Amino acid sequence: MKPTLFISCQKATILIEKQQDVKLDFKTGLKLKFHLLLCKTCQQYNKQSVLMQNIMSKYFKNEGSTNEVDKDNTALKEKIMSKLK
Amino acid sequence: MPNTQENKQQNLFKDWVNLYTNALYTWALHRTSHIEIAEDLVQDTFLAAFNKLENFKESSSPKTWLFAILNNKIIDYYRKNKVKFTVLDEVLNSDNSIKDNFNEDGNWRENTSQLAWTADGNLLDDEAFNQQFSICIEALPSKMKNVVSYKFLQEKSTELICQELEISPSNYWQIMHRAKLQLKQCIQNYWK
Repeated sequence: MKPTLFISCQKATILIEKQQDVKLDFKTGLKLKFHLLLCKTCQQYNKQSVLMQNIMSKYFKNEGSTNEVDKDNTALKEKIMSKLK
Repeated sequence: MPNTQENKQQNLFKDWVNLYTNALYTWALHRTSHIEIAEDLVQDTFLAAFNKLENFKESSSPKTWLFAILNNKIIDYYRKNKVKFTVLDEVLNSDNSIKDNFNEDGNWRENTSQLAWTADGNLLDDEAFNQQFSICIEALPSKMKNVVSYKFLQEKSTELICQELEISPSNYWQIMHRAKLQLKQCIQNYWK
């Protein structure tokens, strides 16, 4: 296969994930930049990916919102209280 | 003379138990899928918090503090029980997100290229969007969700996470890639 500047969208989107953790090497970074210049959908994915990363981080720190399950936790609360001595 | 300072603290703590048990329990249940384990984790969280109440800074939110303790307990639970995250083949083969999104040449399929939702900065603070997003996260296949939660429950580098999960970074990015493709699709279906 001859070396090429062109990469597929599938490859580009994996590189977008990688890029959020490590610095891409020069050549790979260039390929991604070039791809993003030409591809609107990947540009969009790039933004979506970063947003999703931030929202997940927020969610798992419980700063996002979760619907609380509908359960009567009275017994659990009482059990906990009884152990607080 | 009764120690009023201690009584006051105890009453305050009881308020916390009343206020936050449901939220903590819901979260523990999401992360473990077991009612008894979730209850135990919540109980352990409160007991641990009670015993190190002096570490709580008045300036921070009790909820955030309690959740940080619970998240540590959840990670401990994962580790102790060697929750199998890394059945890689299972994660990667059972999921169609690559086929659904990309054609044989690795380019976006036509139906996926419509830009149904725009990731502008405001969405991060949009309550309804966050709500929908949390539903989509919980709907991920459980093995995939485990890897994602393992990463985000702790503030650790991907390198460390990979060591702990015994997967290679490239496998990790593959899993994250697929999780995001699924999330993106899920959001696309509900967020118009």
